Amino acid sequence: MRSELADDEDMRELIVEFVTGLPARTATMRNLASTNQVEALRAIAHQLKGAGGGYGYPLISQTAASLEHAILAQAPESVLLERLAALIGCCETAVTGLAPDPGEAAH
Amino acid sequence: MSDTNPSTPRVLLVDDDRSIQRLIAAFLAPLGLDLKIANCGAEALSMLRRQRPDLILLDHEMPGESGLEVLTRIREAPELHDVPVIFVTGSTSGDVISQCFERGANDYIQKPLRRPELIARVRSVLERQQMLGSLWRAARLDGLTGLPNRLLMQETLSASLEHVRQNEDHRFAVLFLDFDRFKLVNDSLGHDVGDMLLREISQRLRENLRTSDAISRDGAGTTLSRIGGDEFVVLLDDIADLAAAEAVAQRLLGVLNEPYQIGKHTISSTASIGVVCSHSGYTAADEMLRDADIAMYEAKNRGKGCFVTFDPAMQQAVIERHEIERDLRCAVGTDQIHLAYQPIFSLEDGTVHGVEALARWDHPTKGSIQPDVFIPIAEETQLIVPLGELILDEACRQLSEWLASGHDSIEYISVNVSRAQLKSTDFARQVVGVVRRHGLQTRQLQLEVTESMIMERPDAAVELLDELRAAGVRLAMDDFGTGYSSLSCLHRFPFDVIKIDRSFVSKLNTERTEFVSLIHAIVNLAYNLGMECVAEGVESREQIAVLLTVDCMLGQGYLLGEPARANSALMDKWRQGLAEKAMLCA
Repeated sequence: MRSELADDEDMRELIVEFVTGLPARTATMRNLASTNQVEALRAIAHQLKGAGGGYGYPLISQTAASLEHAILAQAPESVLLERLAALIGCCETAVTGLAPDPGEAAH
Repeated sequence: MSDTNPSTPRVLLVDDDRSIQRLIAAFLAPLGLDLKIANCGAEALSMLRRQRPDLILLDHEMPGESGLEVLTRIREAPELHDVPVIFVTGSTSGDVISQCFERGANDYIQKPLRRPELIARVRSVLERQQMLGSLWRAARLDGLTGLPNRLLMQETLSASLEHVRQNEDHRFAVLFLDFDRFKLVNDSLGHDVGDMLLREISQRLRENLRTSDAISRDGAGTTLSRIGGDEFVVLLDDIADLAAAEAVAQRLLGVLNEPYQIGKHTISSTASIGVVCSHSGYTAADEMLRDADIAMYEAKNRGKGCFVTFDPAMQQAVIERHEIERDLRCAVGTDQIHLAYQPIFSLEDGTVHGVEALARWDHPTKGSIQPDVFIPIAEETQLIVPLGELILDEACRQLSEWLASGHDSIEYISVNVSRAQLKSTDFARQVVGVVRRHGLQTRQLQLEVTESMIMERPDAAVELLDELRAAGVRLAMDDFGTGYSSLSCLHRFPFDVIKIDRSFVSKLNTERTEFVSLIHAIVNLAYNLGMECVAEGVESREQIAVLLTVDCMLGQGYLLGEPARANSALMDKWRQGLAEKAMLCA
């Protein structure tokens, strides 16, 4: 998944910085979920909800909002895990999308 | 918070998420702001106490205090209550939005942030701030000089008084400055020159107070303002004592006394300064300004070009002056104000040559009030206009009555002209009208003007005097010799008579040789210019004898005849008195 702002020269460096930080956040979220620290998990989801769209990843904001909403609504664990997985999946595709475009690499 | 250009808008971002901090900084970079970042509410409040920003971007959800709690604390701080705040929230809850406005946010923006929206909202709030700043400056700064105006000076003064209330050892002083000849410059050289002069004065004060005042070397402790016209007020904050303020006043007098080169004009003048100090127990800014103003007027009364420190006795004098002004308004047109007449005698043969009409005021409770007290007040309040008309009319009526009763040796009645009359373009026509109404010839009226009145606007005065002279009215220069240009300007004006000031005549007793020569020179000059001479203030036989030896044939004074109310016997009384005293030397 590429950032919607990937073609913006001024944003390129910032996007790289944001996406490079995503694996650490996903790791933290996995850890918090496994230890049942729901409020801390919600706080990270809340941050990703606010930041994702700003960096050109509206899907990250949407999936993060969905997870936060489920936590606030005290949804069943299965729902939380499902939504956490969706958010982590988005983050990982963003990381993958940051890899150089094969066409560009050929150049 | 910053060492950047003071005009660069300062923005404080409060957000715990580094991703958001970086994003907002990047989005706002094109606006060229001075952006500072706080990671939590406590850090933000600490930074706000050090420096006030132009805008706060405040995140809603943060560890520790929430954005709403921080917003509440900002609005409760007196120095921060009006700093604009844009609330930044990821919440879509209507409750959160309502609460942020209830607690005083100016706007809100929702995450995820979009660059165009963020820039538009930030720009909108900052432009509004700039507009408010412009309005603030327009309301509090003087457009001509850029100095604080009266309103800002009053606010600054009130803040200093509050400081004194909290710390009784704190002292400050107010200097009230007035340029002594500003009106003359404005009237004679025009308002453009007047404006340039005011800018020059403010520049001198600014430079002097900033660069050489040990009390306020950095300018922080001194507020210079122009509170109207040619009136400037200096607030010297945190001074050791009154002497420190007086030293500044003395120094400013010297600075302002230096000649001013305004275009092709070189202008010289002094300034008068009133000084008050906060240790006199003031509680209101207006009281302090009022007393500084009173002290400044006292400096003018003491001869201008000096400073005077306020004394409560001065206030009493001001109150009395106000009472006189109030009562004068009621007195004009009543019999409280009447005319007294004083003869101008021929020193050769004792005949009454002319009569001068003098205004007198019998105040119902204060008794007789001298003209030198009430005429200046009448001039300031424009009461001189109706008063002058009444005096002229009554004097002409009286002469007409005397002539009708056979006192035909009186050649003229002499009336003093006020500044206001001299400035009236219609004055000559009015005068001729009054004279005719009483069946007199214009040569039977003499108008007396002083040199200082003429020199305020010499060109306009020459025009009016020429017009009066052409109509046949006699013109006399009163108090001759007391001005600084008497001799040099005499030939420019169409006078029939010069009246030698009493200060010369009185010296004929004690410093005879020098003053005899002086009066002789004046008399010769007058005769060479075709004018008569009248000696004022004749009080001794000896003076009469000397005057006759230098060919001064006319005199006026208490010895010859005191000013008195007109009655049918007045002429005989004057002649009789003169004969009894047998003072004529001829």
